[in-house]
Amino acid sequence: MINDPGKENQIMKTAQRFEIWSAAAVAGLAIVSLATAPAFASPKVGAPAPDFTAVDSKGEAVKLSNLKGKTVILEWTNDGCPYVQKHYRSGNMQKLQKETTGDGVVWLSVISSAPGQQGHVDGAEADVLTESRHAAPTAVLLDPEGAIGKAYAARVTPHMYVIDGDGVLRYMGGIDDKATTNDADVETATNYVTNALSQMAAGKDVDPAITRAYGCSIKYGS
Amino acid sequence: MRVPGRILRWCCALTSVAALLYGTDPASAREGEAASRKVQVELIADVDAVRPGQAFTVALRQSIAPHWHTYWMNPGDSGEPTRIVWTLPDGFKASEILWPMPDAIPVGPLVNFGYSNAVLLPVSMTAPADLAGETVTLTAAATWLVCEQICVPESETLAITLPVAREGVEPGPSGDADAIAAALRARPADLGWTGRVTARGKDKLVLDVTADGITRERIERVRFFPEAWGAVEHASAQQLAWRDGGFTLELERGQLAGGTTVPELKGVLAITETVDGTTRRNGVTISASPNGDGSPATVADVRPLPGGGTSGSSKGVGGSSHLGIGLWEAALFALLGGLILNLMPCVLPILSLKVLSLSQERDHVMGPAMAYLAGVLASFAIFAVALAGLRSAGEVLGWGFQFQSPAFVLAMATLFFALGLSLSGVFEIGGSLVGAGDRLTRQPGLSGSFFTGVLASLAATPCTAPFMGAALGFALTRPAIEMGAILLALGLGFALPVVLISLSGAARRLVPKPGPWMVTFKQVLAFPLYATVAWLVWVLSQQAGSDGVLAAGIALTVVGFAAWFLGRPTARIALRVPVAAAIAAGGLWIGLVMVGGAGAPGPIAGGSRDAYDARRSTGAAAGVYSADLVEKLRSEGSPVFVNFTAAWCITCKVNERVALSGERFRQGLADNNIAYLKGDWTNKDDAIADVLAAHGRAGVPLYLLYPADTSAEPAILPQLLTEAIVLRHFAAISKTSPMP
Repeated sequence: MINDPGKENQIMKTAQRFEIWSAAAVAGLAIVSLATAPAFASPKVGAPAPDFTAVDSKGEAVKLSNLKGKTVILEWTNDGCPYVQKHYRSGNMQKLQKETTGDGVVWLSVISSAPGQQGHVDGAEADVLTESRHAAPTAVLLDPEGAIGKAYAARVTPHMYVIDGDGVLRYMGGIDDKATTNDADVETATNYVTNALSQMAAGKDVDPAITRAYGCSIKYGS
Repeated sequence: MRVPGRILRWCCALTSVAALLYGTDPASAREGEAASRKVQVELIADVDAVRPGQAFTVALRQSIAPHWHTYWMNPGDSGEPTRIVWTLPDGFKASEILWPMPDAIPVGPLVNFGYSNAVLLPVSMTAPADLAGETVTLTAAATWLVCEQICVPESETLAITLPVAREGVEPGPSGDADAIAAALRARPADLGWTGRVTARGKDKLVLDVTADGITRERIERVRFFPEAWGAVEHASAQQLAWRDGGFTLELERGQLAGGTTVPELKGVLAITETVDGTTRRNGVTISASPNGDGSPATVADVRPLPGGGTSGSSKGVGGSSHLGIGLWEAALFALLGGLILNLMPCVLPILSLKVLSLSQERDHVMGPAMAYLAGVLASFAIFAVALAGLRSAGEVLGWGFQFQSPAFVLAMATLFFALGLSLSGVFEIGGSLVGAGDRLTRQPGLSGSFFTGVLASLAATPCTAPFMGAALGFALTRPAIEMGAILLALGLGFALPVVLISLSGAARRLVPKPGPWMVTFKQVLAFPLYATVAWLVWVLSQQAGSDGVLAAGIALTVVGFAAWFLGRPTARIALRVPVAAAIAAGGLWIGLVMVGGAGAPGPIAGGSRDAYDARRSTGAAAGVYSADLVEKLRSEGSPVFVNFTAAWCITCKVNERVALSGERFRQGLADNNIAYLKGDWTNKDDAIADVLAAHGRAGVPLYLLYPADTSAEPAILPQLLTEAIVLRHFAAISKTSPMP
């Protein structure tokens, strides 16, 4: 193309200037495209579950990534919520906790009520609750800042998450398909957590992998 | 912290236990216990008796404790809607709950959709035609969740007993009829709005609503309430942007709408409108499909210009979603499209001359060629940045978006006209070839070629070449970086022919030597430019109606005069240039002012208003309001009902939909011999403005019911109408008016 080598310098200069322009234009575009961060993270089923380190009711640190190799279930809970009460009153939640932990699953109950908000507890109170309702989680995580809740976009109690041994989020949503406070509905409902675990055990994709979590809103501080 | 927490939990446990007791066995709930509930309920009906075969409305009235709330059909991020299970006598049919518009109730970072203080949940009942007996009893087992900080499930079984109307006796309204009518008025109405959903970036969806006649001036807020969980995030901000004939809401993808699929969106829009200084909230139903309601856009549909005031560019966005092309294909298409763009009538003349001028310069071609390329790419980069910037501000735009402004179209028409006149030989500046803009383009060295590139890019915007449509449609749905890359590919393709011809000695030698033929060639090239002018004036006629065409005519005439003056060989050049420039600027200014004036009524300009009337005609044929007609009808003994309305008034349209279009309204008019007139204030009308002012209003809606007695003042009906209100006024006036 260039038939006059003497002009190469000039062209190179123009080209350089042009590159600078392009770079500036791209930089401008990049600035424009910076989106505002959403209030909630959006965890993705099929992607690594957000890692966290939390303190449990006994004061011990629990780090999700240290639990690799084990299936982890997260259960957001609030003892004052009638939807939570439905599953504890009927014995449904305790039964699920005992069955799954018996199979080597790590069950983490999470309490994200902020200080001063309904449902907020300290470690001792959390242990009293666990005992009084005969619950059998592996641990109860205290999340008064709402950091874990927001990382998982947890909205309600009970909101359920299933994470596989590779740390991949496999299920998020409701505990079952009957969004009521009626104890009798537990018997006839399809339990989505049981469903997810059995499909994972069979090496299948979890379906449904995302459902509407029903319940009481989590009492975040802000 | 711990003490309040404990107290709260303790209270909470008590309420829960109480709720459990009442909730599971409502029959055992004593009155004292019921009184401690957060929601007091009552079952009411809008009729005082049931007639066989007749439809009527019953409603569950919830009186909710302060700061507590119950839930809409989609409760939002938590909660549960109220449910009613009916036990009805044989043959009775109950509808679903006819949900009134909910409020968005923020709960920390979450949001609920529901009701505070008090709400009526109406249900439409139909009695069987063979209804017998003295009375009927309708029994409702209602359950609901009520929340503040904590949530309490409550329930109650209620019954209402109504007498069966004896034959020949028309049941009258009950004492609760007005309240139920108001609740029905608070339901979302179907105004025929259509919606389309497109993806924007990774996380956003854009709900594009075509709302006939809507204007931004009166609208304070718009919020979309999805009818089901999953498609969009409930609590995320909803960015509102306006366009001709509608608006867009940017929503965040919900958990069920991840990835790249575009979901269907169904729900209601809450439109908060300023009516005479107060705000009114109206609900409008919307159902938006991923590809819009029309046929899917094709490449041929992707055009740069608004056809008849609707945005052609937004079609481009829709077209892209199912074309399924990737970034590289899009860039390739853009490159091809850019190449073809050179052949478009708006560009070819300018480029032909550029090639001629470049080919004459045997030596310094590298610099100018590169500068020309830079000029083109810089223009496209600026265009990309502008597009991205406006898009992030929520506008839905496309290629040639600036052509949606009548003023820009007019300015381009005069520019092309002046270029054409220059090529025709009416005037020349300093022996220029190209004319206006040439002061810059003829400057020696790089800057001249740079600005030729800018001018050519500007001239190219009205034209869309094949291939470009698909690429641009795709680009507009992509993140800013990718969009910029595609637009730059387009610019590269556009600049390539001129650059290659300039750089290639062989190609340059193919261009004939300068000679007398160039004059003829130049003059012939003027005609594509005139054709472009004709087309731009047509576009203007679509945007600003006949006034816009007149404005263009005046501007073009004055610019033509300026060109002729400039071209006169007798006067001194020093005098001619500023005078001609002043005249041309004056002509353009007059045109712009006129277009601005013509554009004032906004999207309802021109013929579309008639279409509005035809479509919005609400069943009962309404005459056109005039003060004389009102007087004439009254003097003939007929009361007159006047509906002062406007296409852009949502409250007006909802009123027309719910109260002024039904069979009972028509019957009311006929029974009471009332004439129905409509005063359309869609465009400013001084006569109507005077009537509004005389009744203390600054705007529509205004409903006046003139008695036949011409000495009496008209009755003013409320701004939020129900059929019951209208019929009651009709009945009242027929008592005071002499029947003919």
